[in-house]
Amino acid sequence: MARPSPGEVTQWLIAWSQGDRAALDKLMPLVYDELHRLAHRYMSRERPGHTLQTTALVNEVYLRLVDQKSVNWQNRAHFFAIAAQVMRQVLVDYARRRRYRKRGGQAVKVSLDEAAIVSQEHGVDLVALDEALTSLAAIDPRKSQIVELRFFGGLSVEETAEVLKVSPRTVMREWSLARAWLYRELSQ
Amino acid sequence: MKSDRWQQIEQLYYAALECEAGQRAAFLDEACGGDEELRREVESLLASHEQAGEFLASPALEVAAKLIAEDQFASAVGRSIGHYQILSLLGVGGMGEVYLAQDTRLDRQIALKLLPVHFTQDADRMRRFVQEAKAASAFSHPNVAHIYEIGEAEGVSFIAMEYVEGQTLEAKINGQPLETGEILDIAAQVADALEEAHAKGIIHRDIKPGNVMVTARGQVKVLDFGLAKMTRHERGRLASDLSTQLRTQPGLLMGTVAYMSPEQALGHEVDHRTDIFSLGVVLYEMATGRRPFTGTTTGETLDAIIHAEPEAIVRFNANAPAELERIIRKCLEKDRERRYQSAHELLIDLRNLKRAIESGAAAAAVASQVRGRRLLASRQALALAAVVVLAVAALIYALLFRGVPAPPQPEIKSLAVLPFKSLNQEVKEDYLGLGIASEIITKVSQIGALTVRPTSAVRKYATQEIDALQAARELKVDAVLDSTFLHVGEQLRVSVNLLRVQDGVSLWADSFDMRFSDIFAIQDEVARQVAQRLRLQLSPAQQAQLTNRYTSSADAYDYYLKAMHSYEKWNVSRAELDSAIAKFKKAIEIDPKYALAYAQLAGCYTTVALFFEPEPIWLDRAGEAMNQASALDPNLAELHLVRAQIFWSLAGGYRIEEAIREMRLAQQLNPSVGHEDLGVIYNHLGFEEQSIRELKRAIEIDPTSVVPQDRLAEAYVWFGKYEEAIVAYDRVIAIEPNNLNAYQYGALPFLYKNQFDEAQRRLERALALNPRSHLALSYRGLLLALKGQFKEAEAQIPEIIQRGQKFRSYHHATYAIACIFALEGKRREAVEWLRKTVEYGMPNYPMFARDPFLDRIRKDPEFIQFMNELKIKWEGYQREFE
Repeated sequence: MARPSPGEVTQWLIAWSQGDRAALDKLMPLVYDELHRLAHRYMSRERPGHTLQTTALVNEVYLRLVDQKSVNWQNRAHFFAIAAQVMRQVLVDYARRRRYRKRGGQAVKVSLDEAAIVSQEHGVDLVALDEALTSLAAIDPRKSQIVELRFFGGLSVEETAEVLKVSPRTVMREWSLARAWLYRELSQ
Repeated sequence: MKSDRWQQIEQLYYAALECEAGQRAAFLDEACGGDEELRREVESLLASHEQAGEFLASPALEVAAKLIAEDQFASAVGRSIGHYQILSLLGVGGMGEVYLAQDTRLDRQIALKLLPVHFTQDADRMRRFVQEAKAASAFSHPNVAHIYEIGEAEGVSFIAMEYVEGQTLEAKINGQPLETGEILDIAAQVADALEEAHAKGIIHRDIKPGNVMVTARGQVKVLDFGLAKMTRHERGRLASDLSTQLRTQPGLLMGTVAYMSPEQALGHEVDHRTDIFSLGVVLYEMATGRRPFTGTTTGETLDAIIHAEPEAIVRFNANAPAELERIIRKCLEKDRERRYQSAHELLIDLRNLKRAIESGAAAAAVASQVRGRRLLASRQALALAAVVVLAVAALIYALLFRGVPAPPQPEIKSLAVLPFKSLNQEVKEDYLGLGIASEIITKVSQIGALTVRPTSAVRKYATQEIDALQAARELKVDAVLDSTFLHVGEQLRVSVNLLRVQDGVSLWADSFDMRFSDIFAIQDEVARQVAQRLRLQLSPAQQAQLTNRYTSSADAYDYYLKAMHSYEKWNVSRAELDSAIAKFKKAIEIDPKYALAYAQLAGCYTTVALFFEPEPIWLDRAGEAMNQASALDPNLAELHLVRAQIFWSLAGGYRIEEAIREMRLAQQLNPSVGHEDLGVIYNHLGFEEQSIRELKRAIEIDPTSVVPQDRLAEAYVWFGKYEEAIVAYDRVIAIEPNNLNAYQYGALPFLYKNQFDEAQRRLERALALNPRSHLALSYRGLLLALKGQFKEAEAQIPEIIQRGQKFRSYHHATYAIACIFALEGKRREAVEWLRKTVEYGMPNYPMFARDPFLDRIRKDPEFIQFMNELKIKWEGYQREFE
């Protein structure tokens, strides 16, 4: 399959936000593709020094998926919000299906807690987080959105602030509270 | 939409986060105002915030990608590599994946680490690694996971090592402190392993909880000995990478970086002491559930390792003994020369502490007595143990010193209580350190048998790094109480050391662990102990005074201390005074029965009235606060001192007898206060002997304060002792070259001695220091009159009145005016101004009778009549007060 241009991806995102369900079907394989490339990089890492670049790697993926520059200024906020929503939907969906597969008996039996190292370091249960985030949105929609933009959308504090038209300080503060709230929700 | 409740929670959460950690509890107490549910909610969010660590630090995409990676690794299961059959994935570490495998030859389970292909392709690097790993594999220790084999099969390089069934220490800690006994067990086993490895020249370099396995039976196995070089051989490059481009990248390598020693973080050469530091980090994490050095980026974490002091352990774990904190801090010294120099030394301390704890509190006393410390956990919890501790300590003392005659000791007559130094360098709490000292000063001075330097004399040491004995010598005392405290949240640890200055011998050392709310009990205890150690005889009444406390609310007391800190700086600026007022009010709000806070609040109001805003409202407020204080406790020395200030003021009608009575009452309640005030007021009455005696006593109590010296010099002036006055002012100037009084009052001896040039010079200096000084202006007028320039002298008068009449020292100005008229021979005016001088609080009959400047009018009938009237009044004072 020929790789779609960033411009096309942007069009699909906008279409999806306008209710075109088929657009998501086009977006999903793209995200999966990136996901697997990223996973492969993790698997083949040779030393911790290499992992230093993973954030850069992730950013690069986001950049490839969403072409920020082609979006005009007025729509930026709207656009990022959509991109983050799509990411959330696709990634949570992936985690949910994986969980189902494991419950279905194909789980690998691991006998040591060390097996949890991977999930401990970056450990967050995406499915549970998704549910908690929905609960948070009922109490405080903006905080939920900040988490969506930053965690799922991969935006920095400054970018999030720009999207929401608030100060970076506000984003930092609300992020701190949202994170504490979610953490408590998930550890209960 | 947002509910009001949520908004309330939100705002409190932000505000609490901005509070200093130590102040949060107090802040929430106040802000929640008894709404327990609200408080619980905010506190639980704050706790989650603290625990959240790296939660959500990596983007979702990364999280998902790692899930995929994990699944892929799992697919190696079932493969065989040489005689190892892979059973399952154990984990993925920095060096690739680790599997549980069956050694089909020896029929045992092993851990099989598969090395990344890129790694093995670098022949040179592989050779070096194999060399080191072989050295490690030759070494065997019960607490080290043994390396069986390093080999290659089916094109894959692997390390086969002992499979340890258990939990990693990382999983075991899981954000929560471990039991002290368990911490010591685990750390001792790691230290034991390190000791042996170091002896064989093997450095681990990567000690971290993920590398320490704990079996179900509590046995520790350290993993990956000698393997760290494989991942870290390019340390120098790593460090420079980190310092440049990577400082801003979040969430990376945290797991490993957080345990690095400062020398590793800096990319310097390391030796075995790097492992001691890393073990210190692990110990800290076991004791608190959190890492000592953290940051949101790798660079920040490295910065913290290199520069930051970890937060106090007691903050996160109230049960951690002080000795454990000391051990950990010694491991975590930035400078490796100051750490434990060997794992063996550390092991000994860990074992000693372990033994002390195992054989109970009694043994803790034995072990720690050696270091002059006593470990005492929560007072309430260990009340019984404390009794045992004291009994055992007494026994040891008796055994050690039985039959040894006590050496002759120099008598101790004076004591300095230095401000308690905060060990928590992040939180500035000078007010607390000074406040605790100040309370102990008050308590010990009340005994009266000892000269105790007042708070004003020791306060400067709150911010000065100085050796206690050196400070003691500056303060000219025989004994000094040198103390530290660590205040974290609700926890307070106070350590005291009473030193004899002559030979530096410690007369008493102790440390107290308690909740902040127990602070009063500790102050009482310290004061009582100081008295006891210095062999002061206490009457039952004095004993009772020692345990006299004014509030039982720690929060109220906290505000009180902060308020006093501001109040004592009132002459620096009005803002300090306003801040003191606000804080005293807070203290009263929390504890409406806090008599001392009312008394000090009254003092603040009075100070505003007398020195800043001579409006009746301030004195009304002062009166109200005084009534409250006195209704609660009529026997507060502070209350009487405030009242005295009001009596001897324009607003109080210059009721000098009342003022003296109040000051004397204050002195009866606390023999160390009021000497300066009394010396000054006696001076204005012309009671020479008493004035000089009180002022000298004030200087004795506080030889470092310039104020009583200044007052004494002034007294010499009014008693006509000009030579003494000149010498005394020279001393004041030597200490404070810009002391205004030394130039304005200091000009007078020269006027009396007809040395007009010197007088002129001093007055000019005074006016340069304060161009608004009504006294310098008054004495310049006097100088003109002495030179015969009466017209010019008189021309100064309106301005003198205008500038001076609101100040308490106005009576000196009116007296100078009287002298100007007297010199000029204007008898009626002179007498009129003398009457004003009496009216404004200076009925100094002996001075009027002696002053040569009044000689020209002595024969005037009006003057004679005035003096006769004053004499009757003065003799009344004399009968009552002399």
